[in-house]
Amino acid sequence: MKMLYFMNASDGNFNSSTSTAPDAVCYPLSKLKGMVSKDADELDLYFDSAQAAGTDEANDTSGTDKITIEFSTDDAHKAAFKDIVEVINEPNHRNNGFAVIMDAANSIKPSSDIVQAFTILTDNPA
Amino acid sequence: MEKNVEKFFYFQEAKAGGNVAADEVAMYKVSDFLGFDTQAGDTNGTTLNMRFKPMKRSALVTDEGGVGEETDVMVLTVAANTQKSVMASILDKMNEPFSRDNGFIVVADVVGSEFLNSNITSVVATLRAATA
Repeated sequence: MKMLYFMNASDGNFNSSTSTAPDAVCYPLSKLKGMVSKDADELDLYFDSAQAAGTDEANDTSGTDKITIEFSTDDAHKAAFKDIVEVINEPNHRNNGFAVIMDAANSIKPSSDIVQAFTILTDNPA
Repeated sequence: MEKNVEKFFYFQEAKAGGNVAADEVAMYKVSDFLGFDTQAGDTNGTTLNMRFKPMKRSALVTDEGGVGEETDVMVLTVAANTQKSVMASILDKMNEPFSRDNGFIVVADVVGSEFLNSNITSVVATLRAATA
């Protein structure tokens, strides 16, 4: 099994005070829905929500979590997407299936062009 | 069984403005690919649709009155009546050894002028909004 890890607290503490923005999330690769440009220097990764089942038909926004990643070079989405895919597809024998995509506490990111600070937005049950 | 690697389809449409904007670049897992269809009503025969599970909308929420609107679609412009060879080329990439592309398959990059098949000339990415 492959899991994708994101940690955005540079102090290394898992102590976020907000309910929709935890410090760290970790999703099975199978829950990744895709990546899309947000603007000139940001992209969004969408996942099936870890907390909300998305079965509330009155609220179609339920059921997706979003990670927003920024990069330094305008319009460099293709390189960023490719660098993220490389981390995702790293052989399991190197990381035992634990793919660290972003870890601000340990200065880990897919490429030098990607900015360390990023945003986690989770969808919570109503 | 859970997969440990994944192939991805990459699409980048032409820039509407000076820089890349929202939803102009999109990438999907090959495992979320739903299929091809040609465009009904396209009398020029130059369209090939690639449909995917919607990225921004929960797959578990279904609008029964608008099922046809539930998918994201990458609309490829292709040379007239070459859809079959384009589909075959894309299938070749899906099935080629992982080591050749490390799972990153560029189907159409209009800005970078990179296309999986020379008959592909453009793409328009249409993503369903998070809300119906």
